Amino acid sequence: MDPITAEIISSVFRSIVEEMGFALIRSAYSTNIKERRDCSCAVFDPDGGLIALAEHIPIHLGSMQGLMCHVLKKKPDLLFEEGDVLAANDPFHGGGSHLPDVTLIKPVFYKGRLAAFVADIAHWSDVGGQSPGGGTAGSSREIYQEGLRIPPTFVIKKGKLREDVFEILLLNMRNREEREGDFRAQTASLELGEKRVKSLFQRHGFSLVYRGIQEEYDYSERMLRNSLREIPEGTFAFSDVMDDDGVGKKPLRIRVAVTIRHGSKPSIHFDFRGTDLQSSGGINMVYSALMATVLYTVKVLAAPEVFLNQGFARPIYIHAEKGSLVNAVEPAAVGGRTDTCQRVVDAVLGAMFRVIPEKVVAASNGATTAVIFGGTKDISGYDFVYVEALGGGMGARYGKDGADGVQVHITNTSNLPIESMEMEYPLRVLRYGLIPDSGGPGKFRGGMAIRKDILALKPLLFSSHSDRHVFVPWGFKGGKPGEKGFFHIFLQGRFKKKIPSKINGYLIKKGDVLSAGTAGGGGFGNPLERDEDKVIRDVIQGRVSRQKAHAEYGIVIRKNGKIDRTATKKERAQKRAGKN
Amino acid sequence: MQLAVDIGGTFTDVFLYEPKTGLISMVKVSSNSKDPSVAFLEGFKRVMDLTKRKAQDVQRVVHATTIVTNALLEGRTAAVGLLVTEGFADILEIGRQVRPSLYDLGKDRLPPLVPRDMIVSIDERMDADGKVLKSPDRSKVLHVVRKLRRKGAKTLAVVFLFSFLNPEHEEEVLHTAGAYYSEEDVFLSSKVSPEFREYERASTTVISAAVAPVVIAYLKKIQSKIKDEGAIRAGLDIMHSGGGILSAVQAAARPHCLVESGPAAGILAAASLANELNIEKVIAFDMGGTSAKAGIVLEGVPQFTQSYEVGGGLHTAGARGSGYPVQFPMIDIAECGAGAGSIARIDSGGHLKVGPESAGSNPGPACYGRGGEFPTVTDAFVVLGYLDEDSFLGGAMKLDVDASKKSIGEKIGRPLSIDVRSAAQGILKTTLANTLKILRLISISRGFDPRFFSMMAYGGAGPLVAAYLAEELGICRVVIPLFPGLFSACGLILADKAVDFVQTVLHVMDSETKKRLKHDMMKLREKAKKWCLSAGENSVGWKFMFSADVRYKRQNYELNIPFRKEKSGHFDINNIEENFHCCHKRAYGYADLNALVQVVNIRLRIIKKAEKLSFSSMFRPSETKKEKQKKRFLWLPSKKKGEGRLEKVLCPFLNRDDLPKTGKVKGPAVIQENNSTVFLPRDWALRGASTGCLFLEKLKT
Repeated sequence: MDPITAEIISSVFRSIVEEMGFALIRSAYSTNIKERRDCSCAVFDPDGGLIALAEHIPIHLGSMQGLMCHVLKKKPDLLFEEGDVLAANDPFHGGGSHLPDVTLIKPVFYKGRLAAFVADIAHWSDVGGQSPGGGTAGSSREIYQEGLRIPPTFVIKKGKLREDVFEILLLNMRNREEREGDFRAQTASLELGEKRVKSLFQRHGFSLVYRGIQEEYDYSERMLRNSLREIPEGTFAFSDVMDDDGVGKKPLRIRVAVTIRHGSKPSIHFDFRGTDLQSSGGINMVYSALMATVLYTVKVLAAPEVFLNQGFARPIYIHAEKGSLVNAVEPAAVGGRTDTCQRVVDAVLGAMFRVIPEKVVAASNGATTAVIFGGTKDISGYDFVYVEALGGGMGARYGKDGADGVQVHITNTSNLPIESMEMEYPLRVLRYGLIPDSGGPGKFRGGMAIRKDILALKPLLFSSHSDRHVFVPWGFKGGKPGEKGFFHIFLQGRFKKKIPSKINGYLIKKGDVLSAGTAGGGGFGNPLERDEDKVIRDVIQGRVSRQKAHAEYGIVIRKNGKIDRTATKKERAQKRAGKN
Repeated sequence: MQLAVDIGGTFTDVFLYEPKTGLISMVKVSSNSKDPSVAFLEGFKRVMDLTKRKAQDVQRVVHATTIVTNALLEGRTAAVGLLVTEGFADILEIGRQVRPSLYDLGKDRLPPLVPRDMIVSIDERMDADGKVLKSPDRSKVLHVVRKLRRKGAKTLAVVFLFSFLNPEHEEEVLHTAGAYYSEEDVFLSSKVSPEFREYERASTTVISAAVAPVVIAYLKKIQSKIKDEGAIRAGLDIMHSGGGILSAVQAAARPHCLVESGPAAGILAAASLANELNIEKVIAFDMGGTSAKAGIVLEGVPQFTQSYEVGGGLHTAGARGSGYPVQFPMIDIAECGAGAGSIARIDSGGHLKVGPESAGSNPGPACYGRGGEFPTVTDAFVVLGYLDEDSFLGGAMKLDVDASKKSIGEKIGRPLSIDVRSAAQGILKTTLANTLKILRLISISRGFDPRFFSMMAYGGAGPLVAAYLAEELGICRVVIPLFPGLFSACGLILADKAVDFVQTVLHVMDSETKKRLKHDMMKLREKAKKWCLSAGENSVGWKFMFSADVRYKRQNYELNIPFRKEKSGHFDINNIEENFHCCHKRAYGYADLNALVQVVNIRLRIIKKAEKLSFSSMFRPSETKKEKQKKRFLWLPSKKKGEGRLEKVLCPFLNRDDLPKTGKVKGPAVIQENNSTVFLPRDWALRGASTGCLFLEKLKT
């Protein structure tokens, strides 16, 4: 197989998954998909190997890959026919990573044989459960509370919707119109993918396409192994903690030891022994979530530009004990697993700091901070569930500040435009902005956190999962931690109370304001070494207060706003001496 | 006499047309990325010299410019003061809170065009129905405006929540700011882009405010330079990214419209030609030195897109967070870094990659002999024999075949252990694959089946690869226009004046809202008429075209549905649901007949026809004597030997002017002309037409 044809075939696959994603986003009904783009698409080979992935949300790969594994295990029983669509969301019997992520797969036949699978996944804003959108909340005690569990199930058989099965799904979920619309958008995207994959086979023939795919697998593997060879050999360990599990247990430990081996085939090994046992709250990760998280970190550390496919996974080995927080077993609750995923990423980057500091970032906001409002009858008369994940500070980078107010690591969902939110839901946003002084001080500053204040125009139920409300995101090499996150309730501008980071179905009264704050990123390097002008610029731009500029960075600012360089020099020297 | 100037990444094209005598002349000069007006003027002078015409006889200069895109890419923008609703000062900074690259943690979003300290919040608020919750305090507004002025803000942008429903508060600021700023320097989001989605609206408004001073200075410079050359009577018109023409003054007032000015010209030319030739469905395809672009033309009308990001590199639909979003109905263009100058290399995993880096015009491809070491797509064509080293650019530049061979052999062939020709073929195939992606994106992804389309190919390199691409997409006919190398400049001369108006209405369709829709359309029409008066335009002679952005009530993305004009002169709004269902089915594969249909925006485009010019009127059948037909060896993919193998084929090289008036030419053949080269593959035949176009047609096998 010549590399040129291989490259061309793989580029067609990549454009197929991109087109699928585009169609899905454009035609979906729920805000969560159409505006926030909480969805992904992929093509798999008949053995379940990933051929191409439209890279929207890193964690989604876990569920799609997980479902493929389950399906193939059960293959003798699952008779795929042309026109079928199979759905699943269950983390223990359907490869999912939490219930709201519903994966659909469709077999692609060519000349009567099963030639590939197209798959897409979308986060449905509600899949039933104890509270609106509660499948995403962090404080359930078992999976049964989190919503409807769907094992691999044919919802469409030979092109025909199985109405009885579909009705079971819809009856168990809030806001069925939206669910129907999203399901339709997801299946339409699969049909597009199927058509395009078929025409690729027709064009090049089955065997040439598969030789091309094999070459692409080998290529990604080769590229990754080459990059791994550039990381020094050895074992590097780190541990970090989660605040709590939302139902009482706190804190929970995550430990990872990363081993790099060279030799003729360099490889990377992740050993999670020493991590706490799974807990009764909704912060557990199942294996598919862990695998997606690990793939994400490997890409970041070694090969951001190499395409994810089956070959990419070959040099990667994961060891996580069954029943632990990162490889939970039934009936663990998993709704808020992305916070834990974020912490796993922080821990791996922390471990690798020793050998490749230039490739890692300090601890980021460390949560996905999902805020979920539900109620009966929105403005247009529908029951509604509004889900949004707030970004925060990125950890400071080697030689560069962390990005302010972004989604980091395993998620990359958009926010919802304030104007569409207020037009659609009985909510009003009073404030949406960065939090001054939230970025961890350092030679390179951690990114700033986000605060969003939402006024309820009707009584609503609020659910959430978040973390880093207790333990701060750490810095590297003398960099200070970022600020913690929070959920506060205000009434008419006055602070009323603090609510926990993981909560399910909390009643917010009409006129109450939920103020949700995320955490800032940790700093990198000693703040006293930060370039003076950068501190001044941060002060002028309102990112760092004068007080903090003085206290943390040792910068003396005159009344006129200009820096006093001599006094600053002295101040910094004193501070340094005081420290030593 | 009219002059069109199209500035591209590699070349600046100047096209002169004198309707009275039918004189046509054109020159291509190397672009100057630092100061585009230099190449503008050089081209201007050269075409004047060439035609021995007097500059004072130039009546009109039409220009397609990259000034806005470049100003944004290079950070040469003016200081803007931004006023926003209290609580939303970070609207630009947070944007949609996404990061541009999932895995490359070093990559950042572009920094906001307005730094945080130049953004002030105003305590005002409208609710989601446009009802006032809190009015701004005039004295406080005055205070912050004064402060921004002192801090050096050259222009102001004002973006309040829900101003697209009720512009009252923004207008109050405009009024108050009058103490320090002239009206032209204050950009209200309700005027620039009265559409929902506050971040995108803010971004559009800020882009306008930030580039306005740059655009004005540039346009003034060009106007004064051509005046200095003696063109005292020439008006300056600018192409906007929606494919219409604005006067220089109008362009300066809405500079965000100029983002994709250049590529729009090409698609527009394709639309004019499609109209003239009566071709219903066209994929317009342009390949120049740096990039390839594609667009769709249906019934003579280009397809539009309402959302786009600028400044983050090349346009790929759907990508988000890499650039600054612009809300403006632009011609829908897919673009990628594949051009004649694209550089080929082997990456660390041993794969061949081509582009997006380009060798430009200087040093250019290795075969230019100007010191370019890297193998480019042009070098691949030279090695394979498609380009005749003696007649490139009409013989103006002798190509160095050995340099091409050396470069490709060393940099591509050796690392892959293949011979130089296979390496060249690899470069060609990879370029075709890259280009196919955008052709698929613009057609299949948008729900159009390319097999029912004709391809119109232009740009210096477009005609060379067009038939290969058409073959891949199942397209059976390729049209090569006159002067394909300067086709976009041609489009500039033909373009109509066009101005767009928009209003967000958010009506769910029933008989009651249809009445309101009619009323809204009337209001928009009034707005357009008022604009004509204020812009010093005669209000007669404009054609009004209404369309609506429509979606299912629960969706957030709209499809643009044009209103058909009935015989009575009224616009048919009764069939809007039905038309929308149809379009939705085509675009996304399903229609939801039970769902509520919502009209989000109504749009009005007013058009004034350009002086009647046509491509066929530019065509002069050649009377020069035929040269002796030349034959050369070409290395073509072998049918017999299988995938990837080449064979040597003796192939006629014809001059476009010498083509037989009737009858067909069968491929393989190469047709040469001054600014482009056409390749006709095996199983394809060519026929000329009285319009001057070449039709390449796939033979039925």
